[in-house]
Amino acid sequence: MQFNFNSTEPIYLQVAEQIEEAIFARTFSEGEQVPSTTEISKEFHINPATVLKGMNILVDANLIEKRRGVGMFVVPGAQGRIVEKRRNQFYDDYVKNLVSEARKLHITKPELAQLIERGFQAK
Amino acid sequence: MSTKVRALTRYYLLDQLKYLGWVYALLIATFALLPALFALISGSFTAATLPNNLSDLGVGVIFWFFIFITMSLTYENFKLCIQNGISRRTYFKARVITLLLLSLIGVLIATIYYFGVTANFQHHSALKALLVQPYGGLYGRFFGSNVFINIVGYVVFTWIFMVGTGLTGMAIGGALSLLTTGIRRLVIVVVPILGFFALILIANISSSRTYPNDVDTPIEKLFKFLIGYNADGAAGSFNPTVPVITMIIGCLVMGAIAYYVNQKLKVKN
Amino acid sequence: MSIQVKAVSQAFHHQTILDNVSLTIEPEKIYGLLGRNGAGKSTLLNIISNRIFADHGTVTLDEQSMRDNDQTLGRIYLMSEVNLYPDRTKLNKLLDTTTQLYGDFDRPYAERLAKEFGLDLNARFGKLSTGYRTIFKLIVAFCVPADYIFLDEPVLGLDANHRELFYNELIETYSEKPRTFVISTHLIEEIANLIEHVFVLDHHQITVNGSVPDILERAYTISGSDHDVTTYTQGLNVIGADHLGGITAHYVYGPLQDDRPIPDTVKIEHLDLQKLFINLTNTKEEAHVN
Repeated sequence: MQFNFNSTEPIYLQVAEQIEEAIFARTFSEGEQVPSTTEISKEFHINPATVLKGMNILVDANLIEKRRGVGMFVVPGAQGRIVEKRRNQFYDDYVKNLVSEARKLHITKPELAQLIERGFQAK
Repeated sequence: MSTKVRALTRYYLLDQLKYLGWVYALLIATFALLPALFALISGSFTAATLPNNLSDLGVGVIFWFFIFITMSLTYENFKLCIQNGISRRTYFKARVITLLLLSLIGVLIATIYYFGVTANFQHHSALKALLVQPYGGLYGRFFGSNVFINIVGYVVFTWIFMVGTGLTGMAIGGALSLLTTGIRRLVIVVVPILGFFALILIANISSSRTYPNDVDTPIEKLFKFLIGYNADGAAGSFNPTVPVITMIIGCLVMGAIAYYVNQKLKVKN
Repeated sequence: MSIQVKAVSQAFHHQTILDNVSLTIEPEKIYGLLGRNGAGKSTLLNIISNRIFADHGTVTLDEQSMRDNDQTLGRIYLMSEVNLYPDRTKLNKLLDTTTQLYGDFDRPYAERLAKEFGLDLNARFGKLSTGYRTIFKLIVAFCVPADYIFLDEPVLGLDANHRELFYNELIETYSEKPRTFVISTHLIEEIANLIEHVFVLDHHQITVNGSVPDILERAYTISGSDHDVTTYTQGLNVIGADHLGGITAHYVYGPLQDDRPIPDTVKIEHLDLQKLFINLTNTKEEAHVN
């Protein structure tokens, strides 16, 4: 796991985002154990309470679960739920901005569709 | 006695006994073994050299110095205590208990050594050995003809004296540690000089007689009272009650000063 | 359940060191005590641990006075820059003494830590380098049965590897046996995410006292063109400023004005703890100098 912390966002949110990202990228696959609070805490010198607060966000979102005396595990179906969540956000995060920027640049709807087509082909 | 006082007392007692052992070893090495070695080299060594040297060691005097110096290291020991969560009061209690026990041990060792080793080598009887001591010369017969009881009196008397010495060390060491380094140095230099002049002054006053020769000056009277002088009695039959009471009062005063400065101890940066 | 410092003032030679300082230290939390040199951090810690007496004010632990009290003093440990251990004593003996006087001590853990840090417990305390003295004192701090552990400059003389090891062990021992650590250090970046709560001591007073996220939430960098930034931050609590070319950055500590429109040319971000600290403790000095 590679964490990139920045200084402007609360650390506990960043912990939650980084673990979620790792589950999304299948770095931690479903049913697998995620690093313990202490491990993350030690690795990045973050207060264990802060790490736990971040983890609890993921527990509440039903992405990871606590198994007594063992640790935290990725819940089956977690990856799918993250994909689902991100799909829902896709419109807000990207499409809205895309269209608004296109309008500023006087790109028409067919032109934008063409550009998207080109983007898919370039891949 | 609280757990902490007991733990600290045990620590100090063992620590001090270890140092005392070293001091005695050093004493034997310096005043018995080394001279014997020189005698061996210079060829004047006889079978009696080593025992003679050994019989002449000032075990009691050395202990007197030891108890004064070790008890004057108030600040050095305080540092370790405060680092280990020990309060000043507990520190003081433990040191006083240590002083009482250590003094008794030291006096017993010195007494046993004196009557067991030194007196034997000088072919003195116990009574003779007692009477040639400063204490014995004044009070050696006070408790009657039983030498053993008089020796016990000697032990108790010397013990109180050692405790007083230790408490004085504590008071002086503690008081000095409250001063800043500059003032402390000044005090260490100036006070002995003042004391010296004060002694000369007292000697002058007491020797400049305005009284007839057969009448004591007030200072002579006071001195005779303090040592328990008895005009009728022979040497060795002075009364030790007044000196003992004086020493106990001295102990209480020094103890009070030592406690007062102890409660004011603080860590210096 | 807490240590309460109430209205503590202290002066040395008529010079104020602490001026009416009050704060609460709760159980099982990691605190940062930040302040510039001479701000009075060590004096405050010395007063709490009863090494010196405050001129005014009180310090209590669970409502009990900490003045000359074995019960409370035995529940705290202050690891300080000042060396209170005798130079000629061997470390093993010092651990024995600590065990006797604190009543309990995690000796196996101490020995494991000594091995990890490469500290020879047969050495005499006086023979150690500054770094290894720090290490020895840290080891004792981690192994004494105290509920409140004060670490004054805990990484003094430690190289990068040993600092890393220290932070790891701190988290490890804290996770296993939660207790309070109060860390006073100049290396703010290294502990910024480690501490839950921060006290800033500046010019003899506590100027910041709060949970780290709460405090950072109130700290902003406003950057952009000089004119726009200055207009936007007017009336706000600007604690510092930087200029680079045509770009101006104002550092604000405290609420922004929500009704004020944010110009497109102005960017608002949060500050990190180190930058916040520097700006908070700088401004007053400038005012002082002028």
